Amino acid sequence: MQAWKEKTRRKKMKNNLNTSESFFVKFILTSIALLFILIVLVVPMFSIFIYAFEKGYEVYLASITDPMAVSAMKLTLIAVLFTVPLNLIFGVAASWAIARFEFTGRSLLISLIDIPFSVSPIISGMIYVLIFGTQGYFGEYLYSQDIKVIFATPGIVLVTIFVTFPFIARELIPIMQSLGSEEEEAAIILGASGWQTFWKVTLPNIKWGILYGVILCNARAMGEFGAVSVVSGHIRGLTNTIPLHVEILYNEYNYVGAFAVASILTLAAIATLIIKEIVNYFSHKGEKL
Amino acid sequence: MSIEIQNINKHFGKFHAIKGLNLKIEAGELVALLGPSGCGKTTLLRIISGLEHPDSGSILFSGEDTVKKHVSERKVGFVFQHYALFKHMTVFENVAFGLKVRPRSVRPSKSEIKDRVESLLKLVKLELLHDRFPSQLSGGQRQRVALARALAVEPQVLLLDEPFGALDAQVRKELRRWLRRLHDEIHVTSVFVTHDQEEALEVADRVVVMNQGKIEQVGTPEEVYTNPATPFVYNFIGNVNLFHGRVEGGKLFVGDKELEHKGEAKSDNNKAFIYIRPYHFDIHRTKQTDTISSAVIEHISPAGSLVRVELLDEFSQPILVEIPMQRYKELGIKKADKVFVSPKETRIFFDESQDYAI
Amino acid sequence: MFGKKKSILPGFGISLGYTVFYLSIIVIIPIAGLFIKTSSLSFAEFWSVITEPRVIASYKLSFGASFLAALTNAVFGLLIAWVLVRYNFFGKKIVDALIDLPFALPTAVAGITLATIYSKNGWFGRFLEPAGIFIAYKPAGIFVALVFIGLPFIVRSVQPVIEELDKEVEEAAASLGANRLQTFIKVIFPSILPALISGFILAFARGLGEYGSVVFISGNMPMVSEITPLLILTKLEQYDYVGATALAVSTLVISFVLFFSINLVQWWAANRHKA
Repeated sequence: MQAWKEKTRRKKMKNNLNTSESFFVKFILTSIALLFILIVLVVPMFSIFIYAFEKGYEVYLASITDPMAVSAMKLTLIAVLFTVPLNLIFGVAASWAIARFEFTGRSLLISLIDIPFSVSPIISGMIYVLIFGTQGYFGEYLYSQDIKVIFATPGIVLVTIFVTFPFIARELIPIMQSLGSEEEEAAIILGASGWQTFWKVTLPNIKWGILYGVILCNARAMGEFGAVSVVSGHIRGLTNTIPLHVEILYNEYNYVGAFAVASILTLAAIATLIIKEIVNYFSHKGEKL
Repeated sequence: MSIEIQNINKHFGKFHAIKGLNLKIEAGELVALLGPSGCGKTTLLRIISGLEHPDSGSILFSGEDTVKKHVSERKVGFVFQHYALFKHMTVFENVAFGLKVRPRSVRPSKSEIKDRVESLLKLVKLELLHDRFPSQLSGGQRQRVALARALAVEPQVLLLDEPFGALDAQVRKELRRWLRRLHDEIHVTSVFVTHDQEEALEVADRVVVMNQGKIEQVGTPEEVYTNPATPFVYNFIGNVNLFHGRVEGGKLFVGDKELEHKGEAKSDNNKAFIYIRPYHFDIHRTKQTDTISSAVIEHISPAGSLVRVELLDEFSQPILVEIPMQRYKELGIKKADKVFVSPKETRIFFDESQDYAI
Repeated sequence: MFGKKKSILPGFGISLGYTVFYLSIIVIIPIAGLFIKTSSLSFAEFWSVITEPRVIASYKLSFGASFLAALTNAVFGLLIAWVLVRYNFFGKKIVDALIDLPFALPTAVAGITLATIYSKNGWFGRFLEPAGIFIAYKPAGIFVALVFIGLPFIVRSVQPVIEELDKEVEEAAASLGANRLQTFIKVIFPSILPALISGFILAFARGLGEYGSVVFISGNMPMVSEITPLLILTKLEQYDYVGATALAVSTLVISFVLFFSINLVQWWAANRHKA
């Protein structure tokens, strides 16, 4: 008891200047924060897996190998295969234009890129229906050419592109701005062409940003629900992505099935978080210059 | 290769950064652009390199106009203030870069590149660090890599933007001398930007003193130091004392003391600015005919063969005087003594527009 | 074409060209389509739609729930950010990574999970319902879902600001005699406030448009627990394009105003102490 008192007294003297909260306050604040996180984030996350395996491993496996589930996964995969590369090219092009040059309309461009963030996913889907739907502006033309966009795969892909295209750009723009253009100027003076400069100098410096942007874009593309809901038509086996399939299972009271399929998406989300930490670690190592 | 700068103008928005500037740099010279921040020296350097475009005027390399040439065609080597090394490439790869990106037809073979890079690294004394990354090098080492990289492509002009600005004082001094020796060996026309007058005077063949987008004076370090052309140069280079005088009845007065001056009498009430270097003063115990002011000694510090004496004149303005050690011993002065200072050589500017010298 | 400061870096034309092309197809044309459709409405039609009782009820619900959720997140999010930056504890890195979970998790997954947990037999529901707190299938459920969704916005907005805080200023305050609480209220909090407000607006705006995570837990009864996005979807499914458009535009306008106000807040923060 005496020893503890002495230690606290010495600690107090060292902490003469009130630059930090007392241990008691820290403890309380940390506990409240952790409790909040536990209730709001941790419990839901674990419950997904627990519900998914409620009826045992076999039922879990059956749910995710069910043909409807598999076709949903295929459709999601198609959406992702188109979305991510296109958005990657866009992200790189946009960040090059915005971070390396000054021009009239630059701020407008930046605001345009942020639009999907400020628009409700339902509205995101809706605007494509207005253009490409049978009653939409291109509707008659598309009908006459027998091209189906809405209630078919192309519509789903388009909408997914819309909702996820800002991610890579928004990741790269600040990175390129903080890197500055001196290395690229040096390369040009040394005689490198534009493409050589881009491949040999710019890309290596932004590779972690690209990786994280792609992972994030991928996670969001797989998980997009509201916008895809609007354009999809919900035709089982044809126009359902994984999230839509989850909805169907849930509405049929097939909870285990719904959570089983949902667990796949959750694993992808957790992988995203892990990769983000890794990227942060490596990119900070490179920043030491 | 000589560089001729003709009537260059540059604006940044409303700010007129460079105002109708003309300058000729001879082939093989090492020239310093010296001036305070914002005087336009870095802008001028970047315009020569092609990194910036002037609003009007032209740059000629050996008589050929470069304005149409893209920066990669100008054969200019540029060393950035913060090195701009490629952080994910080794020292070797950094230096080899300019050679590796050449189009196939003019690209040297792998072994040729290796030889060139190795000889350059020997030149800058970094051959043992060829596989290190920039983050593993000190500031001085990085700067030498930047220099080797710029030299690898055999530029006809070498441009350096405050090359030693980001380094410690000691490293700066060493690298300064090393740059001078390097230039003596290689003889590439070189222009470097600095705000450090000691650096410019020690390293350059000629110094270009700039202020507010204009050239104040061009000359050898000695010329610029002993014969400043304008008050700005006087103030900027070396220490100087400034006295204010006025003209009355054709005579020049500082306080109540008349100052001799040759030349035409100026009109009355003209303001006069009298510049006197610290080592152009003498100190006496008694008033002399050419005394300019009485003064009280504030501080004495020996500095090699000279003794620095800081005084306050009769208007309580500080004066810095440097007298030879011999003279100091003769006088036997100490702090708080009251003495008289007389100038042995002065430079007078009337209304800042013309000048006289005694 | 556009005024451009000359630069020696290449690729301006191609990068800007592709960017504008892509944006036109993906963003500008569809959004323009929305506004063109809107202009085909008369103002009377527009007004009658957005003043329908059902619509107004949905606005009240969406706004109210979003506001409360954002407010709750402002308080706890600030606390969490502070704890993450200033304190150390076992597993801190994991907790820090976990904050982004609502951001990375698909909304539908979040939706069914929250609905299940808070329902009668769910882990939380089985304790709350006997106590009289009904969350699932009630407006309160929307609140809970929006808290989940909005948390990262606040934490990630405020965290960098706390990290950049100058410790010396706090030391100065302490040396002048301020206790910890005073220092926090008078010195630290004002520096964090702009980021907190920006994060709040972001969470709020996000909550207004949120669909997937809310629609499972909310009950979706018109006039009671129907959020605006769901109402838009319903109108679409009934081919009431006029109604859907009017609603969408009004929601968009509000979102744009909110986002614009974030810029204003940031501008205010940057300039408030300038002479």
